[in-house]
Amino acid sequence: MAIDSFRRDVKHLSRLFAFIRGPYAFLLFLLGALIACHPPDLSDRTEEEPPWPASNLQVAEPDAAPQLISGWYNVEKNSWRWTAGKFAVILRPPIGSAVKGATLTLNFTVPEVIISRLRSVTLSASIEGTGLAPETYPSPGKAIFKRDVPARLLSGETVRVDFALNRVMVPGHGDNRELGVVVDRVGLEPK
Amino acid sequence: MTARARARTFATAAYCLIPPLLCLVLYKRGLTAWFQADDFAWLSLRLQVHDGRSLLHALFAPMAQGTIRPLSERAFFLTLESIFGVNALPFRICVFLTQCANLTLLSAVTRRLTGSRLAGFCAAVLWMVNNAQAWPMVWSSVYNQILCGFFLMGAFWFLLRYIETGRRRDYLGQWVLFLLGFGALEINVVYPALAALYTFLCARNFFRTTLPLFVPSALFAVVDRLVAPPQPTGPYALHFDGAIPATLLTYCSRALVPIQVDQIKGGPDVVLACLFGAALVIFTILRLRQNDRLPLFCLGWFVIVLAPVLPLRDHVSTYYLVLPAIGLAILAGYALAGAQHVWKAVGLVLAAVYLLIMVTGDRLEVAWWQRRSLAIQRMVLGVARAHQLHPTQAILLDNVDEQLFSAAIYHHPFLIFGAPAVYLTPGSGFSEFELPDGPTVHGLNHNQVVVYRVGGPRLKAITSVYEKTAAQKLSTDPPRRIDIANPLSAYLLGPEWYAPEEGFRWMPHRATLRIGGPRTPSDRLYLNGFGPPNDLRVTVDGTPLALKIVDNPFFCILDLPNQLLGRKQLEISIEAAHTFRVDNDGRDLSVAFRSIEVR
Repeated sequence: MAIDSFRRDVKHLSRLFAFIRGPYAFLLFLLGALIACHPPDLSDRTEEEPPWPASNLQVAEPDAAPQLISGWYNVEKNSWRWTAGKFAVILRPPIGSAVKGATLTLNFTVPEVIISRLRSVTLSASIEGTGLAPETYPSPGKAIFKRDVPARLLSGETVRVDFALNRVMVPGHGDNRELGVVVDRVGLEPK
Repeated sequence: MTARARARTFATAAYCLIPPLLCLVLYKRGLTAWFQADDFAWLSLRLQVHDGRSLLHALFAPMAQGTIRPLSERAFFLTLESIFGVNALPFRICVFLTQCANLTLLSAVTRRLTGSRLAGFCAAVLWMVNNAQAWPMVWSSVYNQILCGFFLMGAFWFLLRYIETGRRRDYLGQWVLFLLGFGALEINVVYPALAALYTFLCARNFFRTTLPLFVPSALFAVVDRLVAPPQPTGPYALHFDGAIPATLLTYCSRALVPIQVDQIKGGPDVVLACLFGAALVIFTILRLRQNDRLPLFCLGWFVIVLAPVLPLRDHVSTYYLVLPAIGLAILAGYALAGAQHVWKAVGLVLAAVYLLIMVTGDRLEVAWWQRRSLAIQRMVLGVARAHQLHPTQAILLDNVDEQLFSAAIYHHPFLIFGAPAVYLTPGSGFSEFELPDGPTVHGLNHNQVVVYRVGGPRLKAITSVYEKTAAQKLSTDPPRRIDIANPLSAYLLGPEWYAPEEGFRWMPHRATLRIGGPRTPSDRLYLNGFGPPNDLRVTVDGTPLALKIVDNPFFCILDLPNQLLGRKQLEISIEAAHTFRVDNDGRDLSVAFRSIEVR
C-alpha cells in the first residue's frame, strides 16, 4: 500500500519537475558558473593611507624616491645611487626621537676613482640648518657617516637633511655629471 | 491530466517543497554567512596537500580531538575550496541542499512509520525550526551534523523499506548509507542501536537482521578510542558520574525551548519545557496503552543519539541536539496528526507556541552568527589585500575585539592567504598574538610593519597615525620572548646567527642576543630548540650558566642569578662545545633555536 502511494508521489513529482526542469537546469548552471568564475575581489578591501615619509631609506627602493629631494642620480644595479656634490633627503624622525634624540646614519661607498682623482673627500651634513661635524675620507671603500642628532631638532613630522662634499668629480667623455659618493642607505636610528 | 490528478500533483509538490522552502526563508542569512572559527583550520588543510600521500593524510588522519570525518569536514572543505576558493556561498548551498534532502527524508520516514502524510509534514517542519539547527545552518564546520543526519535517516529509510518489501537491495542500501555515515560523524556509531530498537519494538521479525550492524560500530568505537588523544581535563573530558542525568535534563530542556528563552527572567523556559515534555510523555503513555510502541521508539531515538555526548559534562552545545531532535520531531508530528477532539486543539496551541519561540530564537541566533562572520570576512579579506599591497611587511591589526579574536584570529585564518606575519598591536589584550613593544617600534622605524585598524566597512591603514600616537608610548626595551626565526626580532640577534628557516635558526660555535630581563625572582630562562647532543655554555650579562643538551628537541630551563632582577636588558651569549657539518652545506652547525624566553 505504502509503496504504491510512494510510487504515485514520485510519478506526480517527476511530472512537475519535467515541466520546470529546463529553466531550472539553466539557472543552476548559470549559478554554478557565476560562483566558479567569481573569486573574491580584494581590490576594495582596504582603505590605504597616502604615502608617508620613512625614517630609514634604501635609496634604490622605488618608495624612497619622493624623499630624495635633490642631488641624487638614477638607481644603478638596483642597489645604489651616485650623489652630486650637494644632496638632500627628507626623513621622518623615528619613534621616541623627539625625547631621546636619534643617530643620523649614511651608508655609502667612496669609489676608488674618486680617491685616485681627488685624494680625499670631506662630507658634512646639516639638519634643518643646524650643522653636524664633518668627516674626511682619505681612502676608498665602504664607509658610514654617523652623527648624533639632538632631540630638539626632531620634533617635527619630517626633517630635511642636507649633505655636502668638498670636492666632486666630472667623469667626462660625454658624462658631465658632478659625482660625489655612492649611497645605498640613509636614515635616522632611534637611541 | 485530470483536475484531480493535477490537484494531487500540486499537493504532493507542496508537501515536498514547503519544508525546504520554509527552511530557506528561515535560515536565509545562513546562505550569505562567511567562514568562522574552526572553518579556517579546515580551509588550511589544503596547504598540507602536495601529493597522494599527503591527501590521504589530510583526509583520514585523526585531528582536533581525534576526530576522523573525511566526508563532512575534510573532503567537504578540500573539494569546495579547491574549486571555489574562499567563496563561502558554495559551502552554504551544499549545506542547504543536504538539509533539504534531510527534510524530505524525515517526511518520508515519518510517513512510513505513522502512515500519515500530515505527521511527515509536521515532523519535518518541527525539526527544521528546532533551535539546534541554527548553528549548522550558518556555520560550515557543523556540516557534519547535517550530513550525518542524511546518512542516519537514509539508512533508516532503507530499513523501513526492507521491512516492507523484504528486498535484499533495500537491506544493502541500509548498509551502504550506514557505513558512509562513519565518514560524517562519530555519532553514526549508534545507528545499529536505533535499528535494533525499532525492529525489537515494531518489527520483531527483522530484529536479527540488525545485529550484524553492530560489528562495524564496535570496530569504529575501538579505533576511535585508540586514535583519540586522552582528554583528562578540559571541555572534551568524559565524565561518567552523577552529572549525566543533569546533562540529560539540560538537553531535554534545550530540545524543547530555545536558549534565548532561558535568558528571560521568571522561568518561562521551565514552564514551557515541562508543558511540551508532558504532552509528549502523555501521548506516549496513551499510545502504549493501545499497544503502539512507536512513540517509545521515538523517545529511544532521542536518548540513544544523545547518549555519546552526555559524558561531556563541560561541553553542553545546543547543536548536539540536531540528530536526537529527529526522534522528538517524529513523535510530535505523530501526536499532532493523530490527536483528536480537545487534544487536537491542545496540540495545535502547543505547536504554535513551539514554532513561535523556536523561529524567534533561530532568527536571533542566525543573525548574530552571520553578522559576526561578515565582520570576520571584512577583516580576513582586508588582511589578504594588505598582504598583496605590502608583501614584505608584517601586518599589525589594531582594535580587534574578543569576538573577532576568538572566532577568527585564534584560528590563524591568514595562513590561507600566505600571510603568516600578522600580529595584534601591543596592549590588545591577547598577548600570545601581540607583537611586543620593542619589535613594534623597531619594525615601524624600519618600514617592516604596516598597521591597520579593524572595525569599519573596510580595513583602514593607520600606520602613520599609529606612529604619531600609540607607538610614542611604547617601550623600546627588548621583549622577554624572542622567536628566533621571526624577522621582526632579528635586530636583537648578534651577527653570528644563520638565516632563518621554518621557525628556527641554526647557530655556529657561538651566538649572542639581547632579551628583556627578569621581573620577579622566580623568572627563569627558557631555551627551546633542537640539535644533536651538545654541551652549551650560556653566559648572561657575564655570568656563566652551564647546560648539557641530551634531548632532541630540547626545552631547557635555567635559573637566573638574583643580581639580574630588574634589568631591562640581558646580553646572552651561547657557546657550543662542538659543531658539525652536513653534506653540501658548508656551515658549521651546533644547535638550532626556536625561541628563547625569560618568564
